[in-house]
Amino acid sequence: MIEKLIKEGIKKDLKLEVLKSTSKSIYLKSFNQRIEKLEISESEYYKIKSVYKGKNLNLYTSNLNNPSDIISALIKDSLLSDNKEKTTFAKQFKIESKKLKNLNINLDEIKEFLKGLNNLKKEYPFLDTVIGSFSYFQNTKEITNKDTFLKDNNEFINVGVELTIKEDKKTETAYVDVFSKDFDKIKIMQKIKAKIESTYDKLNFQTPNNMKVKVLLTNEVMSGIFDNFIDVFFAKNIRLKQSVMVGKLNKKIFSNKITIVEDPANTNMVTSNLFDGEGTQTYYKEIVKEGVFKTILYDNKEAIIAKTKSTGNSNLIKNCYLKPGKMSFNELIKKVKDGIIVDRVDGLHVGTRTLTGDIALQCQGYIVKNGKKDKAIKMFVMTTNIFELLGNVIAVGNDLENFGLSVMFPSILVENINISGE
Amino acid sequence: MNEELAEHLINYSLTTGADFSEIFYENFQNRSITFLNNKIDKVNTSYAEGVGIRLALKDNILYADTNTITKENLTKIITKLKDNFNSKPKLENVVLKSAGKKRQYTDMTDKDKKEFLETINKIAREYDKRVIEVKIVFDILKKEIIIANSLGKYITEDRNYTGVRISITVSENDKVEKSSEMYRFFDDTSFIKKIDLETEIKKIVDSAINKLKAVYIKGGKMPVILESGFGAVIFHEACGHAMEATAVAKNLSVLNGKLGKKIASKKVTIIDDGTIPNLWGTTTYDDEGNKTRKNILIKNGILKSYLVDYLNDRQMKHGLTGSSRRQNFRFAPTSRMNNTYLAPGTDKIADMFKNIKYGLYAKKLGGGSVDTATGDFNFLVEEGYLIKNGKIATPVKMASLIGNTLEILSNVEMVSDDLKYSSGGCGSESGWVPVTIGQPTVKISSILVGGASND
Repeated sequence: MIEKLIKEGIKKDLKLEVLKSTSKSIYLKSFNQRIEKLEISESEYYKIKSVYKGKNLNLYTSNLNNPSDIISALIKDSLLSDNKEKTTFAKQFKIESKKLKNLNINLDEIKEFLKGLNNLKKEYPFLDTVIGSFSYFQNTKEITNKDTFLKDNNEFINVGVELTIKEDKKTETAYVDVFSKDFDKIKIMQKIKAKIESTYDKLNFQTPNNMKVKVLLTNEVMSGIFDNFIDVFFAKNIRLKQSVMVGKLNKKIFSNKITIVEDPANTNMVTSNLFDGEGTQTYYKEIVKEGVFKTILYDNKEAIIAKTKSTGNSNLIKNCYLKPGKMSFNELIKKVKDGIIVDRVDGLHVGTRTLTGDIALQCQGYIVKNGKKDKAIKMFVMTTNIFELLGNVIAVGNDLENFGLSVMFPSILVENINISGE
Repeated sequence: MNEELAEHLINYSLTTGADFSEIFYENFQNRSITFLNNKIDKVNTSYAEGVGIRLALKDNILYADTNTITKENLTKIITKLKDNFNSKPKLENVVLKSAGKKRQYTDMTDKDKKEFLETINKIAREYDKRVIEVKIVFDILKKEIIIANSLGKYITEDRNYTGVRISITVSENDKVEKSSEMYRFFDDTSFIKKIDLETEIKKIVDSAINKLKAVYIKGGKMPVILESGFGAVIFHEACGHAMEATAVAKNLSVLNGKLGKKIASKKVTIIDDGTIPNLWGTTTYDDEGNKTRKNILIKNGILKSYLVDYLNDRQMKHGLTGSSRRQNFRFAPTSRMNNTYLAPGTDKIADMFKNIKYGLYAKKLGGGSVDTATGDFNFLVEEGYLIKNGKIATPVKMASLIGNTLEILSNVEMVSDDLKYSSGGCGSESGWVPVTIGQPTVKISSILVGGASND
């Protein structure tokens, strides 16, 4: 079908490239002791990139059954579009094909695991509700044009658990999200238990006063915050002055403890991408090195405008992380001495602004007194800025782990951060 | 998906032992035109077609979705699901009864679309030289929906949506700020002629320019006045989600067991109405094929109703509210809001400012989130001003409001009569759905505002 479309395009003077995405997934959800839902999904989706009379066009479709309709729609869009910027098409390069495990998902084993989560109530009688979910995803991407065929694939597992804790008419909730290559039940259970224990503490929380304070932000919290700022490093946002990083290339923007890298093709990670959405080969790069902004992320269009090369970041940021330090989380707590821990933030999608770098987030955590975890705190707001947050870093933890598939941060200790409460 | 195939699949799906089955077919076409950097930068056309199959046996749900829509593939998927129910097949033969009608559709010409976008750009740039970028995303979405189920429904509905999002960036003395506004309707493109472009664009530019001068507010508990319109997101998030059967049926809502009880100030009447013509959250049918309707959720402070879908109602025995929704065929539907608004009151806006020594005027909220089990919520104030000695003063930045559902409902002190609607996108278990929120200007006696530790 793809070849037929490309040939039809050539007849009408359209240069075409097709990105085909195929995915399969299985999803199981439990509610307390029973399996509530099973979902299976299979899909194919095509992105068709085209140049017609110098105009750049994109069309998205779930099937290629009618090539002539697709070509007519592209020609119609070309009459409206003013986009005549130069573009390039994917070029062939050698790909070492990834071996997928083709995980043989044993649904019965997974159902038993999910139902078994309810047994945690014996160990933790204050645990009111446990909602568990298991997802398995497999996807394949293929880019085809007149001269090129590139193929890459991924598979991974995601286990999510929602916990509700109740005692004395007080309620708290928590979420655990694990992304992995394998179904490691022991590791998942350890994470769930740790989360139950920290959430239980929050039932008897205090609200702190307004103050400037030393803050230890957990790896989960920092991964979430940084994920919302990753767009600031993209060339288009910088060129159009929609990023706080305008004019900051090669300047010191963060503490020298901050080195942020992107390693998209690393197949040891949970998922990896050997090429980006335009078929450009991906590679390891330092975005920020010892606090200095070193690399703007380019796709082909932006690279042509800036007269440079694409960095393989067309619609892609993968395995981007802050280089970890040497201190464990407990060592970081000792180093806080007097301050707070923030182990949960809410409202990330509205409380972070890529245009100004501003951050205002609802927080939960603990007071730290004399280097030890003290009372639980919540219902307060941390108000800061990305430059202040990553500029005031005193120490970086060694606890890098996957809370998503794009961005990872270890825990960091930061001084002089504003919080408002009572 | 013709009626004959739907009927065959429904009857075949009942051989699995399911006591409910549903086929949801969707065909959509979206054209998204992006105006940026003084020109039409992108024209993206998308087509998608797919089917979602939902089977239930008591409270056990199976769902499958595919975009390979052949009788063979859909039958194969149902067969694959079969092993998960250990129940005897239902023998009854379901006969479908069709309802629904086609909607007329009028599209603007491409020439008119281009002129419309260029006019917005021109007005903004001519109004103030500090405007450095005007981005407009013009979305035209046409959906054809078919819902067939074992209750005998075969419902068809055309859903047409038109949306315009305008974002304007301004700059002065190396400072950059941006404000945005959305104009979205459940209708064809003819609706955009009703936007007063001149007034609306000037409002967006003024808002961005005011933000250039914004400072942090001193954080703490204080009275807050929410301007009419998008301020209603606080009621959508803080109490609307807690009324959805998704949370209530599992005893995961802070409003569980409170039906018929006083949960809010007597000034509070909250309504969810999926029938208001042309609003962004309107549809004729919900995604289970039931007619949408007007649901009074809170009346004068008393909780009157939850929002309930078919499968959750089997447990709750509440009665359906026409509120079952989903993003697309990839999602099983569940209870969601449509157009949710706080009913107008009689208080005067001028009276709201009296006696406020130090407070916050939230002209526009930027969105937020809520934990339905605890009722804890947070919202960012997109455009806000300090209130000092009863008067609007300095613009403030990054002020966030945090609190608890039951606390804020009780703290509604005054409600004016200037009801305004705003469109939005709402994300939850069944994906993103278009919603409208509405509210007159409201005074809340006390709420925690996050800001700086000092003035």
